[in-house]
Amino acid sequence: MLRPSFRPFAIVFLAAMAASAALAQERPLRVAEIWEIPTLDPTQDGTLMKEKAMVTETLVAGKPDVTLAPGLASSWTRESETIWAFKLRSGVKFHDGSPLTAEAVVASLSAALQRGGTVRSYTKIAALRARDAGTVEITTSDSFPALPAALVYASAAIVSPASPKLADGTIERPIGTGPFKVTSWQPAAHSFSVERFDGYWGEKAAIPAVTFRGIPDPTTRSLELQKGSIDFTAEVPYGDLDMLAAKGFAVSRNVTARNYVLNFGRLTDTPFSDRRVRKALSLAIDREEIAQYVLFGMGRPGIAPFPDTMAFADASIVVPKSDLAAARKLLAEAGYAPGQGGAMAKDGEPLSFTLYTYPQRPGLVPIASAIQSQLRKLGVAVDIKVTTFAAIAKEMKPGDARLAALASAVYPDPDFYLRQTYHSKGATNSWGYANAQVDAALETAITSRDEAERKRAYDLVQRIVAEEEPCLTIAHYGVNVVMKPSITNYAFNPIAHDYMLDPRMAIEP
Amino acid sequence: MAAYVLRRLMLALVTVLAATLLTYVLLRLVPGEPARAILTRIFVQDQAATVSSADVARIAERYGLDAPILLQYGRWLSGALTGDLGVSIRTGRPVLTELCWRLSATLPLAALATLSALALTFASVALKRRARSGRVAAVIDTFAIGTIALPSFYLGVVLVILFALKLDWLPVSGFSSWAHLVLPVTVLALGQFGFNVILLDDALNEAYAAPHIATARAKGLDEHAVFARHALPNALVPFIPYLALQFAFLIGGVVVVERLFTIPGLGAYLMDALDSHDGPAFLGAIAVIALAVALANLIADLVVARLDPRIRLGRGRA
Amino acid sequence: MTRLRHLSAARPALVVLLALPIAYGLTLDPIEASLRNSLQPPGWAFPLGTDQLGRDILARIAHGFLIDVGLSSAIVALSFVLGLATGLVAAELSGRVDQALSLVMDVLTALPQIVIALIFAVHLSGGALPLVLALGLTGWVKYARIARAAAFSLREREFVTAARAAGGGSSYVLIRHIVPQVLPLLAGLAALQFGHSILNIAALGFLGIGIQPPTPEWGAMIAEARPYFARAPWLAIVPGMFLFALTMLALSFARSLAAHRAGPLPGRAPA
Repeated sequence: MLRPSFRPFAIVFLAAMAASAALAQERPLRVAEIWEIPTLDPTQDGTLMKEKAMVTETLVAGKPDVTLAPGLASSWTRESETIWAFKLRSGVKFHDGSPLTAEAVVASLSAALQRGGTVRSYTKIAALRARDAGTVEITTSDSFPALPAALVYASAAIVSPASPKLADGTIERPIGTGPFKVTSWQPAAHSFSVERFDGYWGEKAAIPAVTFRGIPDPTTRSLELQKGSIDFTAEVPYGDLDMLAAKGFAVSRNVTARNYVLNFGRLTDTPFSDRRVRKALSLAIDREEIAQYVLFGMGRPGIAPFPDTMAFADASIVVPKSDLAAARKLLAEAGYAPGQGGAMAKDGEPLSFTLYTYPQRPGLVPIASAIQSQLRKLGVAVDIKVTTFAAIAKEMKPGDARLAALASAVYPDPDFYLRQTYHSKGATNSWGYANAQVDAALETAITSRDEAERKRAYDLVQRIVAEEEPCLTIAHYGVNVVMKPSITNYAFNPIAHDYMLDPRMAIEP
Repeated sequence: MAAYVLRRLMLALVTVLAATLLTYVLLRLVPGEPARAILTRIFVQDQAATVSSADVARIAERYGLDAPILLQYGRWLSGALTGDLGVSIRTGRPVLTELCWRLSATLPLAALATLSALALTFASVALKRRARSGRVAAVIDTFAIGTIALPSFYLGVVLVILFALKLDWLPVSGFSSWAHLVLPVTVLALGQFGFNVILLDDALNEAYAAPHIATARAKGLDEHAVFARHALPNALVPFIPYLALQFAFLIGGVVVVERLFTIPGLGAYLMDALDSHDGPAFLGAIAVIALAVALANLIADLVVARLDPRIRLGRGRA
Repeated sequence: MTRLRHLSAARPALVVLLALPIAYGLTLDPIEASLRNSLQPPGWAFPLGTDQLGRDILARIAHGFLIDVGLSSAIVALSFVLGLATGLVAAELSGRVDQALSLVMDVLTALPQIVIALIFAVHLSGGALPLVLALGLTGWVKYARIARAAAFSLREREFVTAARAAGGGSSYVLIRHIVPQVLPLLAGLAALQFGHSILNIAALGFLGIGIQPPTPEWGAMIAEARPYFARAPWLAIVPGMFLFALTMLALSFARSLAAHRAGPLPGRAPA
């Protein structure tokens, strides 16, 4: 019902609206990264380049249920115990236009093996060879069926040999194959920008560009978000989530592959060598209360090594309800009786320990404090000491314990975490847990080529350790992602180490 | 006078040497193999990584970690004298380059904070002396002491909530425009202001109490001339060395403020280097700070030497 | 001396304001927590509210007072004794020893105290003793300078030369005649350093390299409260106010003590 004289104005107005919508569409997505950004080298901080900036890709990709999918390699075969052939996807281009070749993959992986200790120890690669332009042959140091999973590890991402490097070999600006390419990089300001790569082999990204700025302080990220100077971030203070949701931000609470775990110093010649003592402590810890009040829902109560969001978790394991009476009963069976002031003691020795933890993960100190007050009700005195992760190993005595947040799937295979934690020769099993059944099951699983058999063996291990509790899994780590409501099509990928961006996400005008 | 300057200059050099040597030794006395620490540090410090001894040996060789500490320090020092502060373990970039980047944030911050604090100081002291009213003096004094007692990290938190969020006038964090400087400079300047006022005020009181002021007044010199020619120069003799000390205090404040406002400056660099066991970066930052403070002291000494006849005549500082 | 009058007048009020809640808070339990009571605003059950774990903030403030005051006192004591001894030794032995000690002092002044604490922090691992050492071993320089200057000037005074002439050994003269003269000069500095140490401990706690939570150190409490500022502002405001009041008190004492000797404030402890 516009009068004719107004029509031109209306047209101009609508055109302006459309133009501003187009402009809004072109605005880069502004992301606050949760660590500082001193380097873009994928071998040093692989997750930043692969999972967050989507600049690099790995030979094998991980799916949200923690199973494998083809990545830069379209298929792979295990030709002998130690020799593998990875067939490269055809038509893949690096951001500089050069094609992805077997030579480039060999050069990239060799450089990664040269630089970091982790790529070598996680993948167990002993030798690399370009069999032909489209096939890479990898030889592992011993029989290692988890190699494809290990190649999902972000620091094993493939970059062009032409990537600019510093004098010591550090990659200054990675030239990858992902849906985004690095366009600018201000190391002094801890920020960089990426732009959509139009030559990408897969589905092209929906947003034209993303800028990243490193803001390590969670409170500052929350403030920047409220101020409107960033669009997307993760790990804001747990206490702010409800407030941010009320202000209209899209808040998601997700479970990732990381566990809050309480490790005992030694399982021999300490009170913890008695399974009943460990179970009593476990029963006295109210995991529900911790998840709800300490973590504000950021995390899920857990007792098994993996959350049931992961394909290889044994979903039949249930988290028992906290039960102080049952805990007291177990302690009594183990020979402990309430002594002075209700403190549980055996032969005059009170049951008490120092709980070490470190401040970098925001949930740890509060969880430690909550455990302190929960165990106090059982008559167990806990003294908390907060220091660095490295210092704990040196200071901790056999009768002490440590609360840590440990990655349970650095790459998507159950062997990694179960072996290092529960195998009698596991790399982090410093408390000396030894169970012949667990060792045997892990051996069966790692050498088996039958997926069903592997699954059965891993389920058995999970059930045993959830029953024996050589270390107490308290909760599965939660990560929050908060963004402006105008951002659509975002789906959280639980294999992320912190958070992952999604190439399909778009900004609505 | 020349001998005095030379002596002070030598002292500044020795100070920087001693400070870096101390840091070097303390850093190397950290328990555990430094090479292993370098290898296992992958950003998130709780990633339990297995490290082969071959890798440890390789890293130890690359960073020359097997030599005796003093020899290593010697190598570092001879490099430093030619402008080579080594390479950051974390980023692979020359430490000197990174320090220059960081200084480009910290220098404006520190300079603006010092200047604003001084301007505020002189204005307050002038106001106090001119007003000659007990009430004005009381307000200024209480404010001054109040700013000393207010921790910078606390003030910063409150100012951000108020000015960045509630009033929406200023940015929350970062360092990409002049507006970003307002809050950090305010916090740093207020941190210095309190002591500045008290010290300058006391120094002026003492200067006015000196007998030659009465003589000057008796000679018929007007108050402005008494102030400019006698009181102020004498008051500056204790005030300027104190300002040099204040500079050291300012650097401490910079560490807190840069962390609070996510400013990629020298203080943040120091903290990052500490968190990631980046020895060369940490040592480089310490060297720059020691050098800056030593220079500030040196400049203060030279200025005072010009102002103070006792030093000009070679009596030295007590 | 208006400044003194009005600040001194406010002092008893400040003392009462600090002492009453702290005395009451000390009777409460700083660890006892009920998660279901977390983040309660100040009210009848919890006069200053509860923190994120449902602990009584008043109880934590009171126990934190003991920690902050205890640590600061230890730092001041260490600096005081070390500074007095060094200053007197430098003055007594003069010459080479004096020059060497002056050099050490200059070096220590060249690095900000927080930075020295940072260097120590690689060994600190959140303990109280390294913190006291880091701040105490750098805080003594001011005392030493004042003690040295005073001892130098006293050496030539009649009563000292008289005591010496009467056959007093040098240590006897030092302890009987010089130390009593020097002590009052250092008192104001001690009060000042006390206030500064409280701020420094809090700043290091805030940076995460000093005393760590859950120990109820005030600076660490403020750092811990920051993420909850939007939801529970009293969590940061309460310890901030106590920190402010205690430092004000220490500074005002420093001011009066300095005024007693009718000189200017003895500078700030090298920060």
